[in-house]
Amino acid sequence: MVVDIDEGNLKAGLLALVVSLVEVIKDALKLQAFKRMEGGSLTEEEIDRLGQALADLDVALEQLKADQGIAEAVQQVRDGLDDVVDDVLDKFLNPQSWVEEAERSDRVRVR
Amino acid sequence: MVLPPGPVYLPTKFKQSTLVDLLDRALDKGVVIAADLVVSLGGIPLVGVNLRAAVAGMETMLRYGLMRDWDERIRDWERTHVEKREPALLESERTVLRLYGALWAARGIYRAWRPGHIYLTNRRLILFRAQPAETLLEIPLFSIKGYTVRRETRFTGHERDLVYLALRSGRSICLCAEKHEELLSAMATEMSSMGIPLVEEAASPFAALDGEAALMIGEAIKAESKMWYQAPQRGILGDTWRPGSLYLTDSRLLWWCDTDRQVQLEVPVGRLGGADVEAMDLGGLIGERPVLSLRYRNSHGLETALLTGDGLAEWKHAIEAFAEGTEACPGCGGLAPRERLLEQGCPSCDWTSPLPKPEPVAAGPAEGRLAGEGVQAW
Repeated sequence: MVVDIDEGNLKAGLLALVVSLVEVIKDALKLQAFKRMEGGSLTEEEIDRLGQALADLDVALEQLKADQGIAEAVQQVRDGLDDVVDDVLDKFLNPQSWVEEAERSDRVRVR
Repeated sequence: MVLPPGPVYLPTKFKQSTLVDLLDRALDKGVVIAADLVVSLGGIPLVGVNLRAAVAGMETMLRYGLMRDWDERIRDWERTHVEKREPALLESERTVLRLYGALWAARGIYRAWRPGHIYLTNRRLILFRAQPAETLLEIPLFSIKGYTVRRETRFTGHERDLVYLALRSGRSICLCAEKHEELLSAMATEMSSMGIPLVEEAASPFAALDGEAALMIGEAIKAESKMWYQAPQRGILGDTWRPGSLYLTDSRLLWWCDTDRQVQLEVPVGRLGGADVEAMDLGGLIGERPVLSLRYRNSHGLETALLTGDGLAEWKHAIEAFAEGTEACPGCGGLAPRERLLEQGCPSCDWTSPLPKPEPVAAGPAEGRLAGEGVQAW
């Protein structure tokens, strides 16, 4: 396989990686923000401000992705990361199911 | 219940856990790291690390009674110190449109897009960044002379429209706006209610050499194409080939660097000597390819600039044809296009033609004849 790398796609790929990490952090922050809003310690005005800041961040990121034409690449990186996380967690949390699944697929193959 | 014969459907997992879920769970529960580390060399401890860290979402932290006073203090500070979330408006000023945008800022070595929100009011155009609060741009609407929209291709191949505004002061600015058509039409409406027209003008988006994103309104482009230019040595960098665009206008030849968004070669038409296409070994993987060598005069004497790209032969013709259509200025002796000398005067000194200017109402052919006679007179 020939990997075709030029200045353009290297920049775009690197940018997509960075943006997808920023997006992950943004999403995690958003969930924490919801928890704080539900926690009841924030005033009405603070909730407003927090919501506005989150919305602005969303717009800025979307704009950046559209500008650079990397929306698809970012989605791919995020899907890839999610797959890895899912895989690792699954192996950690229920090793038994993996054994069963492996056996099952073996049986199917034999049949 | 008896299952119908056929394939057996097994329950499968459909909920995928994502990285965000993992982070959320970790922050929700909280992570405590306790580590004692001793780095030793030859059995002698040299560096000790005693690490106690707890990472958790603020809500969890507060539930465990940690960082409560920090939380209070930070929110308190924000409440009392930061009240400016919107640009300060004058009395009787109202916001017409608010959208996301960015301004190209270039000053010295600082060159970047500065993002914020564009506020169009009935008096001004403002670019305001809320956090940290700063007004990045503020121009009264009456100082805007004209605009042009130019589609530029980014390195990703994605195209976007940039808005260039020409100001009455002669400065010009470059904006990138979320919905620029909406912004421009709203601007035109506001300005026409003030009795000022907002006109679209033909313009070339060239930064003046001081680095400000600028455009020369009224300068007609005669030829343009993507072109590589061998930029002369600068700092620790030797001569480097850089991507950009070459433009020939009615008064100059210039090369605009794509990455720096800056003009790096500017030759007034009078100083253009001519051009040759020759094969040159560029080394490395590129090998030998045709190069346009451009001769011009500057304050150091005769210089040569090297350019390469497609359509070099056409460029050679364009430049030569242009050099032929020039005339020496009677004032300073510099070369300039004949028509420009007669109609607007010399671009390098203050000389203007003493011949009567053609009447603006005169028909096209009459103007042409007058200009021709003028040339013969000189």
